[in-house]
Amino acid sequence: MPFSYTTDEILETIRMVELENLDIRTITMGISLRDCADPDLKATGKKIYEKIVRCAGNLVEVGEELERNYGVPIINKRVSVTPIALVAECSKDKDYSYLARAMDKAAKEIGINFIGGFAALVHKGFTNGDRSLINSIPEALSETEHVCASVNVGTTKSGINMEAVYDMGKAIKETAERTADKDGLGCAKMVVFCNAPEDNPFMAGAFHGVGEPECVINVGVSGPGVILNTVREYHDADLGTLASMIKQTAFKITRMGELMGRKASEKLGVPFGIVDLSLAPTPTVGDSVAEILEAMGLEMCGAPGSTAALAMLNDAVKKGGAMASSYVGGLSGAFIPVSEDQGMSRAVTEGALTIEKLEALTCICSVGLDMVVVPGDTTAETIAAIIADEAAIGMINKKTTGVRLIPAPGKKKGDLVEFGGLLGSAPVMDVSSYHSDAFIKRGGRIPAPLQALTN
Amino acid sequence: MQDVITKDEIAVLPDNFELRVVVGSIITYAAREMIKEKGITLQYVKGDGEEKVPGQEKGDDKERGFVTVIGHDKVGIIAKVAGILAASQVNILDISQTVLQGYFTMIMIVDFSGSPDDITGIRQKLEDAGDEIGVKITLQHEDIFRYMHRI
Repeated sequence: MPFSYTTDEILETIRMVELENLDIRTITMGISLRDCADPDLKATGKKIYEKIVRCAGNLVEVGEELERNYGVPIINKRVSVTPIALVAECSKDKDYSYLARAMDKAAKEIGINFIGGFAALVHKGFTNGDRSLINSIPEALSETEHVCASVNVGTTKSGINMEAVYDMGKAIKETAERTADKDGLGCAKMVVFCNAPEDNPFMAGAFHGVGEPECVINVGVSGPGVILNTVREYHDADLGTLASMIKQTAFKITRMGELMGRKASEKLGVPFGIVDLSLAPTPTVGDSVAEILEAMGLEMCGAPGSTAALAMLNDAVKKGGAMASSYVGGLSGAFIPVSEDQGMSRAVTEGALTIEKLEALTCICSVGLDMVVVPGDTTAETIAAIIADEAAIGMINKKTTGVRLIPAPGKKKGDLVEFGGLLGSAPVMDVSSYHSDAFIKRGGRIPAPLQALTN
Repeated sequence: MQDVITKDEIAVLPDNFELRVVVGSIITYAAREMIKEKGITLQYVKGDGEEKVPGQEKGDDKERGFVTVIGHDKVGIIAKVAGILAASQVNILDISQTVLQGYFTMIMIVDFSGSPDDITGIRQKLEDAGDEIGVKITLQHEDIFRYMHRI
């Protein structure tokens, strides 16, 4: 039979996998835990453990089988669950960390590295269960290894719950203190969101939303290395041509995600949800979003022009990816986590990238101030104010923004903090020393903006 | 409902035990690790359903892949690769070879649906042979190329 592919096409694929770190970043199984609610928290914990193990017991095995068959690495196999505040609410018990331990035990049993969904949605106000969950976060994150927490404090449709913003500032501080021996590592497992997506496969912010089916497979693709190579190859091209080449490459990367998602869904007998088009960097050299910006012509990420370059990159990735998948969802935008992106981390060390410039970058891509290490003496009020700023950007621009800040105890500006693994390392960034305490302590709710009135 | 075998159930078994498992059961990651550790062997038994026994799942579908060889040209590359493929009952459907940027590049399209080995086993043999003769040999499933380059 004749070849149905050209030599160039075949070699391009081989090169992407062998040389450019093309991988599937995560296959995340979303599991509804709504049927696990029980007035007895211990019984809820047992049901949660059993359901996760039953649904996702062979997730890792299937993932590994796909890796072997297709020769494309799947870096993470993960699970996201219904926000625990919804599941635990009917219990009188106020300490939900017991359920975090049940989730952690299940994660260990099935061999996944993170389980997301120790979460609450409080954008318009708290229920009793929401309050208990937020109060349980510091203990849950310091006592468990694999559990990730997230709290949605605002949406475009409902405004920003400023009381929740302040509570999360305090929860971040307390979690950092409780995990002080690991430089506040607990905070790396917690995100504060505005406009949180219900089908996000990426940690730490993944949870299984209330509109989702019983069980679902979502896929997060990766590929900064592949895009970087494309940008380097077209070093003389004008930006329109470059955007077009990035689009084509993004299309191919996303097709891989689509293939793996469909095969995983088939093998696990679980419906296929979405492909998330995010460019997700890792600490590996060459797998960096910052390096792509630099290859586009910036001396260093953070230099003037960074926002424009990232906007173009993010848009081209989406345009290419959207055509490649039947269902696109999740966060779908370039990530700019400081510690997980070796180029970002370097730009901070060199003084090219500040927290203010990062904030500007979050206006045009996903997904907010991510893995940013700040001095240990940053107050809960200042952290809350940073969260409020990010949430406002998300609310007004009708996009997801998140904050994953780590106030590393005892660390000062310029100190290097090492988290290890995919979480990487980052220097402590400077935070404005001016206070916003009185503003944060006003509480209440910032009303939904005019953008919400679309009907 | 599928059976789920967890670490707790394996922990109570003696070392080198022969465990009967209903085909289609889920064995969790931690349980599989412990099975290896304790030298437990698994015996698959048929359940009520019509599940297939693991390892015998190969259907009649054509499973095709691409073998690529990249490196400096020398005597016997094709013979070596073809020998490995023949030994694994893999059928060669087509071969093309060319010199790209000074490198010898050979691409074969192969059908491994009749092979007793799985793609990982064949890939490993090819990679080892590549190391031996100083060229880079890869084997990839056709689906990857179909998804990436065709809509």
